[in-house]
Amino acid sequence: MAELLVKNHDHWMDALDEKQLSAYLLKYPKFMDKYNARTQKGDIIEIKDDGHFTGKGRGYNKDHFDLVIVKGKTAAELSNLRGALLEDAWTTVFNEETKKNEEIYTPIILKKFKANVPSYTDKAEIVLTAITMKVL
Amino acid sequence: MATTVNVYVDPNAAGANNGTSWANAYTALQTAEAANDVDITAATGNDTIVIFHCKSSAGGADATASIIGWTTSAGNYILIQGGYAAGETGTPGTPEYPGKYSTAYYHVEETNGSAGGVSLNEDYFRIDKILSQATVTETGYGFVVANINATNNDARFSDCIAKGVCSGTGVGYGYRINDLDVIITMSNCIAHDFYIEDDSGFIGFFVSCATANLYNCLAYNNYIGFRENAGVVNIYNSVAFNNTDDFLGSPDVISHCSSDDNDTTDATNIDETAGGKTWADSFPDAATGDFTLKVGSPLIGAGNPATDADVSINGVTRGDPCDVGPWEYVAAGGLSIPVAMHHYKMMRNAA
Repeated sequence: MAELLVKNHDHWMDALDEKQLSAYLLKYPKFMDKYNARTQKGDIIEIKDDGHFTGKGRGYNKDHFDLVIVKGKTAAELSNLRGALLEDAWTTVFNEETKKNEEIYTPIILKKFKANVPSYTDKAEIVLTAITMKVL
Repeated sequence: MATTVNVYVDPNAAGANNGTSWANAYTALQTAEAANDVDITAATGNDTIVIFHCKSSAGGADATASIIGWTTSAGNYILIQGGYAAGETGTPGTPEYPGKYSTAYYHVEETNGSAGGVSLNEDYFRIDKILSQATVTETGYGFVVANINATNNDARFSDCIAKGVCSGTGVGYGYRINDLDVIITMSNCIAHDFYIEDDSGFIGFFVSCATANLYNCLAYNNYIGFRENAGVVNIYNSVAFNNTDDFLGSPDVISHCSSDDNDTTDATNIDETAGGKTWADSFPDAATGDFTLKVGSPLIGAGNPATDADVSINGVTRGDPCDVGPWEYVAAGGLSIPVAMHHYKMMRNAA
């Protein structure tokens, strides 16, 4: 089985009111990108095999994370749930060798974590359909 | 005065996984980061510097980590610190100088990591002695810098190593510095083996920035060693060799650098081929990622001490003269050329 570490609370940016958010935007022109990419409650942060967080002497930071279990799967089989959601982007560069512009692939982070478990009543066993993949 | 918050990361840790000590270290940098991402600036009352101390106690690799969702400032920054020995027990202890890619130290391994082995998206950060291996069959980067917000930002890399394991076709960079607002300093950084034949999508250092100063960096066996795309890019005391193209674009300064295809077009270029030598005479073990300078290399003592990284990737305080590249030559017996020169001058003055 696989052990999933899931964020158990909202991000600090979620607590910003409109006035505070405007202040951040004024100070940091690209703050909205960061805001949109922020961690969300239920995000899958880390995926490990059976016992990584629950073995003898082991644990996890309960202040920030919940542990949910997916039975019948290994961490490797769920590795596609790990990491950021990226948006395709290209940067135009001039190649002085060929004397031509070329587009090179430079993806950007849209969401810090791409997979989320919106709700779970039984942490000891969730099914894969309980996991949602974020979309562009 | 900012308070330092120490957070420990070790992929092989088997404790409480809360980052409070080496024994209870987080097993992933990404988890450590997600537990700590707040506005750390003084204005919010946090006023902290957050240091992620990273080691690999049993050779385990970490996976990709994206640093995003904070607010930082000049006095309140994030430091990702590697280089700790596997057996380090101090809190935090003292980092060593890996100098080459080694699983004995904290390292990130990612296959087709489009986000980058370590992706840095905050205005003020430092990353020291972090090793990142990118296995690329489609798209992958060792390190990425993007999404910078503040106009007066400060990004610093030191002693970091990006290693490529590349096949197929696609895009693979050691360092993708990709934000027109970023002001970045890179010291003693190495990118090697981002290479696919006839594929210019494989690059050691890709730099698109506001300002970048690269000191004593090294690019080996990449399709392109250093590629300037935008911004003010200054490259000092650095080495590019065995790349299909050592320098591409128009860096504003290439000073006291070495290019084995004489790509620098600068009067201060150091000719590695002088006297019938080749780069292999300077770096006979380059194929293993070992860029230790060998005796007789024309790069020894050829650097400009006014524009060097103060301490080399092997922990030697550079003097005058200094060497070109990340490593400072250390003669048999342990004295580097600058230290030996200093001793010689002291003896001469005393006589």
